Amino acid sequence: MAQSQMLRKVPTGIRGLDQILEGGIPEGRTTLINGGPGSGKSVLSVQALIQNAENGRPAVLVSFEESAEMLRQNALTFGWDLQPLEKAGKLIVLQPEIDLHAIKSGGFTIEGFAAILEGQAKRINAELIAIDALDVLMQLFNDPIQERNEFYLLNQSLTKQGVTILLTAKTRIDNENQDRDPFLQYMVDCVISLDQRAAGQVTTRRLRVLKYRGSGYSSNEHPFIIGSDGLVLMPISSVELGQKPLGPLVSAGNPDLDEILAGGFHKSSAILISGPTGIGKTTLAFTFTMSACERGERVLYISFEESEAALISSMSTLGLDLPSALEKKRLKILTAMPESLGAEEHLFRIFRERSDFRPDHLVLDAVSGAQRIGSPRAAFDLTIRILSTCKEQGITSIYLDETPASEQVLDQPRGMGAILSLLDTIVVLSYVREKKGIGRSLLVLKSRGVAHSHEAHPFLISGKGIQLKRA
Amino acid sequence: MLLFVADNRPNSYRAKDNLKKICDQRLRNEYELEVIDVLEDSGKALEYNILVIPAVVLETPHRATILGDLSDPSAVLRALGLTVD
Repeated sequence: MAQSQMLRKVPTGIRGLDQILEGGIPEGRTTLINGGPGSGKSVLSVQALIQNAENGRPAVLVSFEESAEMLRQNALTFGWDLQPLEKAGKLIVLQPEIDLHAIKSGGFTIEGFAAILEGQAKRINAELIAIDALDVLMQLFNDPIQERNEFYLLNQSLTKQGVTILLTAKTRIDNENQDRDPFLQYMVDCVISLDQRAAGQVTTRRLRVLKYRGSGYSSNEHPFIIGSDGLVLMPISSVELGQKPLGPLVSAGNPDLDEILAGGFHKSSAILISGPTGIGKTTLAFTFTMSACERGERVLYISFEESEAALISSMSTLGLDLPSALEKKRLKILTAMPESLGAEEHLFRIFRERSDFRPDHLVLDAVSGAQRIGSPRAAFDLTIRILSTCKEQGITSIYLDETPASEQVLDQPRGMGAILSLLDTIVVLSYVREKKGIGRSLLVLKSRGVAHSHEAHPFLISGKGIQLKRA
Repeated sequence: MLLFVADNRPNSYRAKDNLKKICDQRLRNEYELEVIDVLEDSGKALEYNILVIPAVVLETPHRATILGDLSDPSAVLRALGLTVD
Protein backbone atom coordinates (compact mmCIF):
# COMPACT_ATOMS: atom_id res chain seq x y z
CA MET A 1 0.00 0.00 0.00
CA ALA A 2 1.40 3.37 -0.97
CA GLN A 3 2.52 5.23 2.10
CA SER A 4 3.15 8.36 0.16
CA GLN A 5 -0.41 9.47 0.72
CA MET A 6 -0.87 11.20 4.03
CA LEU A 7 -3.42 9.43 6.14
CA ARG A 8 -6.36 11.73 6.69
CA LYS A 9 -7.62 11.94 10.21
CA VAL A 10 -10.83 12.81 11.95
CA PRO A 11 -10.31 14.68 15.22
CA THR A 12 -12.11 13.29 18.23
CA GLY A 13 -12.39 16.70 19.82
CA ILE A 14 -11.30 15.18 23.12
CA ARG A 15 -8.66 17.30 24.81
CA GLY A 16 -5.33 15.51 24.83
CA LEU A 17 -6.46 12.53 22.78
CA ASP A 18 -5.97 14.14 19.41
CA GLN A 19 -2.42 14.99 20.42
CA ILE A 20 -1.76 11.41 21.38
CA LEU A 21 -3.22 10.28 18.06
CA GLU A 22 -1.30 12.98 16.19
CA GLY A 23 -4.43 14.45 14.72
CA GLY A 24 -7.27 12.03 15.32
CA ILE A 25 -8.66 8.68 14.26
CA PRO A 26 -8.13 7.46 10.69
CA GLU A 27 -10.69 8.75 8.22
CA GLY A 28 -12.70 6.12 6.40
CA ARG A 29 -11.19 3.36 8.49
CA THR A 30 -12.12 1.54 11.66
CA THR A 31 -10.98 2.39 15.15
CA LEU A 32 -11.60 0.04 18.04
CA ILE A 33 -11.91 1.18 21.63
CA ASN A 34 -11.65 -1.71 24.00
CA GLY A 35 -11.63 -2.09 27.71
CA GLY A 36 -13.39 -3.61 30.67
CA PRO A 37 -16.81 -2.60 31.96
CA GLY A 38 -16.99 0.97 33.18
CA SER A 39 -13.69 1.91 31.59
CA GLY A 40 -15.20 4.79 29.67
CA LYS A 41 -15.56 3.32 26.18
CA SER A 42 -19.12 4.53 25.63
CA VAL A 43 -18.37 7.99 26.95
CA LEU A 44 -15.38 8.28 24.66
CA SER A 45 -17.29 7.18 21.59
CA VAL A 46 -20.29 9.37 22.28
CA GLN A 47 -18.09 12.33 23.06
CA ALA A 48 -16.13 11.95 19.82
CA LEU A 49 -19.35 11.57 17.92
CA ILE A 50 -20.98 14.65 19.40
CA GLN A 51 -17.90 16.76 18.81
CA ASN A 52 -18.00 15.80 15.18
CA ALA A 53 -21.74 16.07 14.73
CA GLU A 54 -21.63 19.59 16.13
CA ASN A 55 -18.81 20.49 13.79
CA GLY A 56 -20.11 19.51 10.43
CA ARG A 57 -19.69 15.74 10.37
CA PRO A 58 -23.10 14.09 10.68
CA ALA A 59 -22.97 10.84 12.59
CA VAL A 60 -24.88 7.71 13.41
CA LEU A 61 -24.69 6.25 16.87
CA VAL A 62 -25.70 2.65 17.38
CA SER A 63 -25.96 1.34 20.88
CA PHE A 64 -26.37 -2.29 21.71
CA GLU A 65 -26.11 -1.72 25.38
CA GLU A 66 -28.15 1.26 26.38
CA SER A 67 -31.58 2.31 25.29
CA ALA A 68 -31.76 5.48 23.24
CA GLU A 69 -33.45 7.22 26.14
CA MET A 70 -30.75 6.20 28.62
CA LEU A 71 -28.14 7.35 26.14
CA ARG A 72 -29.73 10.76 25.85
CA GLN A 73 -30.01 11.10 29.60
CA ASN A 74 -26.46 10.00 30.24
CA ALA A 75 -25.23 12.38 27.59
CA LEU A 76 -27.08 15.20 29.32
CA THR A 77 -25.12 14.62 32.52
CA PHE A 78 -22.07 15.63 30.52
CA GLY A 79 -23.82 18.61 29.08
CA TRP A 80 -24.42 17.02 25.68
CA ASP A 81 -27.91 17.45 24.37
CA LEU A 82 -28.55 14.91 21.67
CA GLN A 83 -32.07 15.94 20.75
CA PRO A 84 -31.35 19.22 18.94
CA LEU A 85 -28.66 17.41 16.96
CA GLU A 86 -31.12 14.68 16.05
CA LYS A 87 -33.75 17.21 15.07
CA ALA A 88 -31.26 19.08 12.92
CA GLY A 89 -30.38 15.91 11.06
CA LYS A 90 -26.83 15.85 12.34
CA LEU A 91 -27.17 12.77 14.44
CA ILE A 92 -29.15 9.54 14.33
CA VAL A 93 -29.36 7.34 17.39
CA LEU A 94 -30.19 3.69 16.81
CA GLN A 95 -30.85 1.17 19.44
CA PRO A 96 -31.56 -2.16 17.81
CA GLU A 97 -32.54 -4.96 20.12
CA ILE A 98 -30.70 -8.18 20.12
CA ASP A 99 -32.71 -11.20 20.97
CA LEU A 100 -30.17 -13.78 21.99
CA HIS A 101 -32.90 -16.35 22.38
CA ALA A 102 -34.30 -15.87 18.93
CA ILE A 103 -35.16 -19.06 17.15
CA LYS A 104 -32.40 -20.09 14.84
CA SER A 105 -32.78 -22.27 11.84
CA GLY A 106 -29.83 -22.52 9.56
CA GLY A 107 -27.15 -20.00 8.77
CA PHE A 108 -27.40 -16.24 8.71
CA THR A 109 -25.18 -13.23 8.24
CA ILE A 110 -24.86 -9.77 9.60
CA GLU A 111 -25.95 -8.27 6.34
CA GLY A 112 -29.14 -6.98 7.88
CA PHE A 113 -27.27 -4.76 10.26
CA ALA A 114 -24.91 -3.48 7.61
CA ALA A 115 -27.86 -2.62 5.41
CA ILE A 116 -29.63 -0.79 8.20
CA LEU A 117 -26.52 1.21 8.92
CA GLU A 118 -26.00 2.02 5.30
CA GLY A 119 -29.57 3.14 4.92
CA GLN A 120 -29.52 5.32 8.00
CA ALA A 121 -26.14 6.81 7.19
CA LYS A 122 -27.36 7.81 3.74
CA ARG A 123 -30.30 9.67 5.25
CA ILE A 124 -28.05 12.29 6.80
CA ASN A 125 -24.88 11.82 4.74
CA ALA A 126 -23.16 10.58 7.84
CA GLU A 127 -19.38 10.66 7.89
CA LEU A 128 -18.98 8.89 11.17
CA ILE A 129 -20.61 5.79 12.64
CA ALA A 130 -20.10 4.69 16.20
CA ILE A 131 -21.13 1.21 17.31
CA ASP A 132 -21.23 0.86 21.04
CA ALA A 133 -20.81 -2.62 22.46
CA LEU A 134 -20.03 -4.60 19.35
CA ASP A 135 -19.38 -7.60 21.56
CA VAL A 136 -23.10 -7.75 22.33
CA LEU A 137 -23.92 -8.03 18.65
CA MET A 138 -21.28 -10.69 18.22
CA GLN A 139 -22.97 -12.87 20.79
CA LEU A 140 -25.51 -13.79 18.14
CA PHE A 141 -22.86 -15.94 16.58
CA ASN A 142 -21.72 -18.62 18.95
CA ASP A 143 -18.88 -19.75 16.81
CA PRO A 144 -15.63 -17.75 16.99
CA ILE A 145 -14.83 -18.45 13.36
CA GLN A 146 -18.19 -17.22 12.26
CA GLU A 147 -17.81 -14.15 14.47
CA ARG A 148 -14.58 -13.34 12.77
CA ASN A 149 -16.02 -13.76 9.30
CA GLU A 150 -19.08 -11.74 10.10
CA PHE A 151 -17.05 -8.96 11.58
CA TYR A 152 -14.87 -8.95 8.51
CA LEU A 153 -17.94 -8.64 6.26
CA LEU A 154 -19.34 -5.88 8.41
CA ASN A 155 -16.09 -3.97 8.41
CA GLN A 156 -15.80 -4.35 4.65
CA SER A 157 -19.27 -3.12 3.86
CA LEU A 158 -19.03 -0.17 6.22
CA THR A 159 -15.64 1.06 5.10
CA LYS A 160 -16.71 0.64 1.49
CA GLN A 161 -18.96 3.61 2.04
CA GLY A 162 -16.03 5.79 3.08
CA VAL A 163 -17.46 6.31 6.52
CA THR A 164 -15.18 6.59 9.56
CA ILE A 165 -16.04 3.94 12.08
CA LEU A 166 -15.63 3.90 15.81
CA LEU A 167 -16.31 0.64 17.61
CA THR A 168 -16.36 -0.14 21.25
CA ALA A 169 -16.03 -3.65 22.57
CA LYS A 170 -15.63 -5.13 26.00
CA THR A 171 -12.49 -7.14 26.22
CA ARG A 172 -13.72 -10.66 26.66
CA ILE A 173 -11.35 -12.87 28.53
CA ASP A 174 -11.76 -16.60 28.44
CA ASN A 175 -10.97 -19.11 31.15
CA GLU A 176 -7.26 -19.04 30.47
CA ASN A 177 -7.15 -15.26 30.71
CA GLN A 178 -6.69 -14.92 26.99
CA ASP A 179 -8.40 -12.32 24.87
CA ARG A 180 -11.33 -14.06 23.22
CA ASP A 181 -11.48 -11.74 20.27
CA PRO A 182 -7.93 -11.07 19.16
CA PHE A 183 -9.10 -10.90 15.58
CA LEU A 184 -10.86 -7.61 16.25
CA GLN A 185 -7.57 -5.92 16.92
CA TYR A 186 -6.01 -7.36 13.80
CA MET A 187 -8.75 -6.29 11.50
CA VAL A 188 -9.05 -2.66 12.48
CA ASP A 189 -6.63 0.15 11.75
CA CYS A 190 -6.45 1.78 15.13
CA VAL A 191 -6.85 0.33 18.61
CA ILE A 192 -7.29 2.39 21.77
CA SER A 193 -7.35 0.55 25.05
CA LEU A 194 -8.93 1.91 28.22
CA ASP A 195 -8.03 0.63 31.63
CA GLN A 196 -9.42 1.27 35.05
CA ARG A 197 -7.66 0.41 38.27
CA ALA A 198 -8.85 1.03 41.78
CA ALA A 199 -6.42 1.64 44.62
CA GLY A 200 -8.19 2.48 47.82
CA GLN A 201 -10.75 5.15 47.09
CA VAL A 202 -9.14 6.34 43.93
CA THR A 203 -9.92 5.09 40.48
CA THR A 204 -7.05 5.61 38.12
CA ARG A 205 -7.97 5.56 34.50
CA ARG A 206 -5.44 5.08 31.77
CA LEU A 207 -5.60 5.16 28.01
CA ARG A 208 -3.13 3.56 25.69
CA VAL A 209 -2.97 3.45 21.92
CA LEU A 210 -2.10 -0.13 21.05
CA LYS A 211 -1.98 0.23 17.31
CA TYR A 212 -2.33 2.85 14.61
CA ARG A 213 -1.70 1.64 11.13
CA GLY A 214 -0.11 4.22 8.93
CA SER A 215 0.49 6.82 11.60
CA GLY A 216 2.75 7.78 14.43
CA TYR A 217 1.26 7.89 17.88
CA SER A 218 2.21 8.06 21.51
CA SER A 219 2.46 4.55 22.86
CA ASN A 220 2.63 5.54 26.50
CA GLU A 221 -0.06 5.05 29.07
CA HIS A 222 -1.89 8.29 29.61
CA PRO A 223 -3.89 8.99 32.70
CA PHE A 224 -7.29 10.53 32.17
CA ILE A 225 -10.34 11.51 34.10
CA ILE A 226 -14.00 11.46 33.25
CA GLY A 227 -15.08 14.89 34.30
CA SER A 228 -18.30 16.77 34.27
CA ASP A 229 -17.95 17.44 30.58
CA GLY A 230 -16.50 14.19 29.43
CA LEU A 231 -13.08 12.66 29.06
CA VAL A 232 -10.01 14.74 29.64
CA LEU A 233 -6.59 13.34 28.97
CA MET A 234 -3.29 14.32 30.39
CA PRO A 235 -0.87 13.77 27.56
CA ILE A 236 2.21 14.13 29.65
CA SER A 237 3.70 10.89 30.77
CA SER A 238 5.80 10.90 33.90
CA VAL A 239 8.93 10.49 31.86
CA GLU A 240 8.32 13.69 29.96
CA LEU A 241 7.41 15.51 33.13
CA GLY A 242 10.85 15.23 34.59
CA GLN A 243 12.36 16.78 31.51
CA LYS A 244 10.24 19.85 31.10
CA PRO A 245 12.29 23.03 30.96
CA LEU A 246 11.90 25.43 33.87
CA GLY A 247 10.77 28.99 33.58
CA PRO A 248 12.53 32.13 34.79
CA LEU A 249 13.38 32.64 38.45
CA VAL A 250 10.80 34.41 40.56
CA SER A 251 11.29 35.69 44.08
CA ALA A 252 10.27 33.46 46.96
CA GLY A 253 9.08 36.62 48.69
CA ASN A 254 11.98 37.09 51.05
CA PRO A 255 15.44 38.39 50.03
CA ASP A 256 17.32 36.08 52.40
CA LEU A 257 15.38 33.12 51.14
CA ASP A 258 16.07 34.15 47.56
CA GLU A 259 19.75 34.18 48.36
CA ILE A 260 19.60 30.70 49.84
CA LEU A 261 17.77 29.53 46.75
CA ALA A 262 20.29 31.27 44.49
CA GLY A 263 17.64 33.49 43.02
CA GLY A 264 14.25 32.12 44.01
CA PHE A 265 11.89 29.57 42.55
CA HIS A 266 11.63 28.79 38.87
CA LYS A 267 8.32 29.63 37.27
CA SER A 268 6.37 26.48 36.37
CA SER A 269 8.51 24.34 38.66
CA ALA A 270 7.15 21.95 41.27
CA ILE A 271 8.15 22.80 44.82
CA LEU A 272 7.73 20.82 48.00
CA ILE A 273 7.77 22.43 51.42
CA SER A 274 7.77 19.81 54.10
CA GLY A 275 7.91 19.98 57.85
CA PRO A 276 6.06 19.27 61.10
CA THR A 277 2.96 21.02 62.23
CA GLY A 278 3.32 24.66 63.19
CA ILE A 279 6.77 25.06 61.71
CA GLY A 280 5.87 27.67 59.15
CA LYS A 281 5.01 25.91 55.90
CA THR A 282 1.87 27.93 55.37
CA THR A 283 3.73 31.09 56.31
CA LEU A 284 6.41 30.35 53.76
CA ALA A 285 3.82 29.58 51.11
CA PHE A 286 2.01 32.84 51.77
CA THR A 287 5.26 34.79 51.81
CA PHE A 288 5.77 33.66 48.26
CA THR A 289 2.12 34.18 47.43
CA MET A 290 1.93 37.76 48.64
CA SER A 291 5.03 38.80 46.79
CA ALA A 292 3.74 37.19 43.61
CA CYS A 293 0.42 39.02 43.99
CA GLU A 294 2.25 42.27 44.50
CA ARG A 295 3.95 41.68 41.18
CA GLY A 296 0.51 41.35 39.63
CA GLU A 297 0.61 37.56 39.34
CA ARG A 298 -2.31 35.37 40.29
CA VAL A 299 -2.14 32.63 42.89
CA LEU A 300 -4.67 29.87 43.50
CA TYR A 301 -4.36 28.63 47.07
CA ILE A 302 -6.01 25.28 47.76
CA SER A 303 -6.55 24.63 51.43
CA PHE A 304 -7.42 21.25 52.83
CA GLU A 305 -6.60 22.40 56.32
CA GLU A 306 -8.05 25.73 57.27
CA SER A 307 -10.87 27.97 56.24
CA GLU A 308 -10.26 31.20 54.37
CA ALA A 309 -11.14 33.22 57.45
CA ALA A 310 -8.72 31.27 59.63
CA LEU A 311 -5.96 31.73 57.09
CA ILE A 312 -6.58 35.46 56.79
CA SER A 313 -6.53 35.83 60.53
CA SER A 314 -3.42 33.77 61.24
CA MET A 315 -1.45 35.31 58.39
CA SER A 316 -2.36 38.84 59.40
CA THR A 317 -0.62 38.36 62.75
CA LEU A 318 2.50 37.60 60.75
CA GLY A 319 2.29 40.71 58.67
CA LEU A 320 0.76 39.14 55.58
CA ASP A 321 -2.29 41.01 54.31
CA LEU A 322 -4.32 38.46 52.44
CA PRO A 323 -7.50 40.55 52.00
CA SER A 324 -5.67 43.08 49.86
CA ALA A 325 -4.68 40.40 47.37
CA LEU A 326 -8.11 38.82 47.55
CA GLU A 327 -9.82 42.10 46.77
CA LYS A 328 -7.59 42.73 43.80
CA LYS A 329 -8.55 39.26 42.60
CA ARG A 330 -4.94 38.21 42.47
CA LEU A 331 -5.41 35.63 45.16
CA LYS A 332 -8.11 32.98 45.24
CA ILE A 333 -8.50 30.60 48.12
CA LEU A 334 -10.26 27.31 47.46
CA THR A 335 -11.11 25.40 50.59
CA ALA A 336 -12.28 21.84 50.89
CA MET A 337 -12.69 19.23 53.54
CA PRO A 338 -10.82 16.24 52.14
CA GLU A 339 -13.31 13.77 53.56
CA SER A 340 -16.24 15.52 52.00
CA LEU A 341 -15.66 14.46 48.42
CA GLY A 342 -14.07 11.68 46.46
CA ALA A 343 -10.69 12.20 44.87
CA GLU A 344 -12.09 12.65 41.39
CA GLU A 345 -14.51 15.30 42.58
CA HIS A 346 -11.79 17.22 44.38
CA LEU A 347 -9.78 17.12 41.22
CA PHE A 348 -12.61 18.48 39.09
CA ARG A 349 -13.24 21.33 41.47
CA ILE A 350 -9.59 22.20 41.43
CA PHE A 351 -9.25 21.90 37.67
CA ARG A 352 -12.34 23.94 37.07
CA GLU A 353 -11.20 26.68 39.43
CA ARG A 354 -7.80 26.65 37.84
CA SER A 355 -9.12 26.95 34.33
CA ASP A 356 -11.49 29.76 35.34
CA PHE A 357 -9.00 31.73 37.41
CA ARG A 358 -5.93 31.03 35.27
CA PRO A 359 -3.35 31.45 38.03
CA ASP A 360 0.38 31.84 37.50
CA HIS A 361 1.04 29.81 40.62
CA LEU A 362 -0.82 27.21 42.62
CA VAL A 363 -0.38 26.11 46.22
CA LEU A 364 -1.71 22.83 47.65
CA ASP A 365 -1.98 23.02 51.44
CA ALA A 366 -1.50 20.20 52.23
CA VAL A 367 -0.75 16.95 50.46
CA SER A 368 -0.85 15.23 53.82
CA GLY A 369 -4.35 16.59 54.33
CA ALA A 370 -5.34 15.08 51.01
CA GLN A 371 -4.67 11.67 52.49
CA ARG A 372 -7.86 12.07 54.46
CA ILE A 373 -9.69 11.67 51.16
CA GLY A 374 -9.11 7.99 51.47
CA SER A 375 -5.59 6.73 51.44
CA PRO A 376 -1.97 7.70 50.84
CA ARG A 377 -2.52 6.49 47.30
CA ALA A 378 -5.36 8.98 46.92
CA ALA A 379 -3.09 11.84 47.92
CA PHE A 380 -0.40 10.62 45.61
CA ASP A 381 -2.68 10.40 42.60
CA LEU A 382 -4.25 13.77 43.32
CA THR A 383 -0.86 15.40 43.66
CA ILE A 384 0.56 13.85 40.57
CA ARG A 385 -2.38 14.89 38.47
CA ILE A 386 -2.23 18.43 39.69
CA LEU A 387 1.51 18.44 39.23
CA SER A 388 1.49 17.10 35.69
CA THR A 389 -1.23 19.44 34.50
CA CYS A 390 0.36 22.47 36.16
CA LYS A 391 3.64 21.66 34.48
CA GLU A 392 1.89 21.32 31.18
CA GLN A 393 0.29 24.71 31.63
CA GLY A 394 3.42 26.42 32.94
CA ILE A 395 1.92 27.02 36.37
CA THR A 396 4.28 26.97 39.33
CA SER A 397 3.00 24.54 41.93
CA ILE A 398 3.88 24.41 45.59
CA TYR A 399 3.00 21.42 47.75
CA LEU A 400 2.95 21.58 51.50
CA ASP A 401 3.47 18.30 53.30
CA GLU A 402 3.20 17.74 57.02
CA THR A 403 5.73 15.35 58.48
CA PRO A 404 6.02 14.03 62.02
CA ALA A 405 8.02 16.29 64.32
CA SER A 406 11.56 15.07 64.48
CA GLU A 407 14.92 16.44 65.33
CA GLN A 408 16.44 15.04 62.21
CA VAL A 409 16.82 17.71 59.60
CA LEU A 410 17.29 15.26 56.81
CA ASP A 411 14.06 13.34 57.26
CA GLN A 412 12.95 12.37 53.81
CA PRO A 413 9.50 13.71 53.09
CA ARG A 414 7.33 10.77 53.87
CA GLY A 415 4.68 9.32 51.60
CA MET A 416 5.78 11.27 48.58
CA GLY A 417 7.60 8.32 47.07
CA ALA A 418 7.81 8.52 43.33
CA ILE A 419 6.85 12.18 43.24
CA LEU A 420 10.22 13.14 44.68
CA SER A 421 11.95 12.78 41.35
CA LEU A 422 9.36 14.98 39.70
CA LEU A 423 9.88 17.84 42.13
CA ASP A 424 12.26 20.56 41.15
CA THR A 425 12.77 22.09 44.56
CA ILE A 426 12.46 20.59 48.03
CA VAL A 427 12.58 22.76 51.12
CA VAL A 428 12.61 21.02 54.48
CA LEU A 429 11.65 22.89 57.65
CA SER A 430 12.41 21.40 61.02
CA TYR A 431 12.68 22.04 64.72
CA VAL A 432 16.14 21.90 66.13
CA ARG A 433 17.55 22.01 69.60
CA GLU A 434 19.32 25.22 70.34
CA LYS A 435 21.19 26.41 73.33
CA LYS A 436 18.17 28.34 74.50
CA GLY A 437 15.50 25.73 73.65
CA ILE A 438 13.89 24.79 70.35
CA GLY A 439 14.50 26.73 67.17
CA ARG A 440 13.53 26.39 63.55
CA SER A 441 15.72 25.53 60.64
CA LEU A 442 15.34 25.65 56.87
CA LEU A 443 17.21 23.46 54.46
CA VAL A 444 17.03 23.36 50.69
CA LEU A 445 17.33 19.66 50.01
CA LYS A 446 17.41 20.15 46.27
CA SER A 447 16.66 22.77 43.70
CA ARG A 448 17.19 21.88 40.11
CA GLY A 449 19.24 24.13 37.98
CA VAL A 450 20.57 26.47 40.65
CA ALA A 451 23.54 26.52 42.96
CA HIS A 452 21.48 26.67 46.12
CA SER A 453 22.80 26.72 49.64
CA HIS A 454 23.33 23.32 51.21
CA GLU A 455 23.38 24.61 54.74
CA ALA A 456 20.69 24.52 57.35
CA HIS A 457 19.53 28.06 58.03
CA PRO A 458 17.94 29.00 61.31
CA PHE A 459 14.84 31.16 61.10
CA LEU A 460 12.04 32.51 63.18
CA ILE A 461 8.46 33.53 62.64
CA SER A 462 7.29 36.82 63.98
CA GLY A 463 4.91 39.67 63.33
CA LYS A 464 7.15 40.45 60.37
CA GLY A 465 6.75 37.00 58.87
CA ILE A 466 9.67 34.71 58.21
CA GLN A 467 13.02 35.99 59.20
CA LEU A 468 16.11 34.07 58.39
CA LYS A 469 18.79 34.61 60.95
CA ARG A 470 22.06 35.70 59.61
CA ALA A 471 24.69 33.18 60.62
CA MET B 1 -45.40 -13.23 7.68
CA LEU B 2 -42.48 -11.21 6.47
CA LEU B 3 -39.31 -12.57 5.00
CA PHE B 4 -36.26 -10.35 5.14
CA VAL B 5 -33.54 -11.05 2.62
CA ALA B 6 -30.81 -9.42 0.66
CA ASP B 7 -31.35 -10.05 -2.97
CA ASN B 8 -28.02 -11.40 -4.02
CA ARG B 9 -26.99 -13.64 -1.16
CA PRO B 10 -27.03 -17.41 -1.45
CA ASN B 11 -28.57 -17.93 1.95
CA SER B 12 -31.40 -15.68 0.87
CA TYR B 13 -32.21 -17.95 -2.07
CA ARG B 14 -32.10 -20.90 0.25
CA ALA B 15 -34.39 -19.19 2.71
CA LYS B 16 -36.89 -18.34 -0.01
CA ASP B 17 -36.85 -21.90 -1.27
CA ASN B 18 -37.11 -23.47 2.14
CA LEU B 19 -39.89 -21.17 3.18
CA LYS B 20 -41.79 -21.85 0.00
CA LYS B 21 -41.48 -25.57 0.61
CA ILE B 22 -42.83 -25.27 4.13
CA CYS B 23 -45.66 -23.03 3.07
CA ASP B 24 -46.69 -25.24 0.13
CA GLN B 25 -46.55 -28.40 2.17
CA ARG B 26 -48.17 -27.30 5.36
CA LEU B 27 -49.99 -24.04 4.94
CA ARG B 28 -51.51 -24.39 1.50
CA ASN B 29 -53.05 -21.03 0.79
CA GLU B 30 -53.58 -19.84 4.29
CA TYR B 31 -50.70 -17.43 4.52
CA GLU B 32 -49.56 -14.01 3.50
CA LEU B 33 -45.91 -13.53 2.64
CA GLU B 34 -44.09 -10.30 2.09
CA VAL B 35 -40.50 -10.39 0.95
CA ILE B 36 -38.37 -7.42 1.89
CA ASP B 37 -34.93 -6.68 0.55
CA VAL B 38 -33.04 -4.97 3.37
CA LEU B 39 -30.73 -3.22 0.97
CA GLU B 40 -33.71 -1.49 -0.55
CA ASP B 41 -35.87 -0.96 2.50
CA SER B 42 -33.55 -0.62 5.46
CA GLY B 43 -36.18 1.36 7.31
CA LYS B 44 -38.41 -1.67 7.56
CA ALA B 45 -35.48 -3.79 8.68
CA LEU B 46 -34.88 -1.30 11.48
CA GLU B 47 -38.54 -1.31 12.37
CA TYR B 48 -38.50 -5.05 12.91
CA ASN B 49 -35.04 -5.09 14.47
CA ILE B 50 -33.65 -7.29 11.76
CA LEU B 51 -29.92 -7.37 12.26
CA VAL B 52 -29.10 -10.58 10.52
CA ILE B 53 -30.53 -12.05 7.39
CA PRO B 54 -32.28 -14.06 6.28
CA ALA B 55 -34.93 -13.71 8.91
CA VAL B 56 -38.60 -14.48 9.03
CA VAL B 57 -41.02 -12.56 11.17
CA LEU B 58 -44.20 -14.47 11.90
CA GLU B 59 -47.26 -12.63 13.05
CA THR B 60 -49.49 -15.60 13.83
CA PRO B 61 -50.06 -17.59 15.94
CA HIS B 62 -47.61 -15.43 17.94
CA ARG B 63 -45.13 -12.82 16.90
CA ALA B 64 -41.87 -14.67 16.44
CA THR B 65 -38.62 -14.07 14.65
CA ILE B 66 -36.67 -16.90 13.14
CA LEU B 67 -33.13 -16.27 12.03
CA GLY B 68 -31.42 -18.21 9.31
CA ASP B 69 -31.95 -19.82 5.95
CA LEU B 70 -34.56 -22.16 7.41
CA SER B 71 -32.68 -25.29 6.50
CA ASP B 72 -34.04 -26.79 9.67
CA PRO B 73 -37.82 -26.83 9.12
CA SER B 74 -38.71 -28.14 12.57
CA ALA B 75 -37.94 -24.80 14.20
CA VAL B 76 -40.21 -23.02 11.76
CA LEU B 77 -43.01 -25.53 12.15
CA ARG B 78 -42.86 -25.30 15.90
CA ALA B 79 -43.06 -21.55 15.73
CA LEU B 80 -46.10 -21.88 13.47
CA GLY B 81 -47.72 -24.19 15.96
CA LEU B 82 -47.67 -27.10 13.62
CA THR B 83 -46.57 -30.61 14.29
CA VAL B 84 -43.19 -31.71 13.12
CA ASP B 85 -43.26 -34.70 10.78
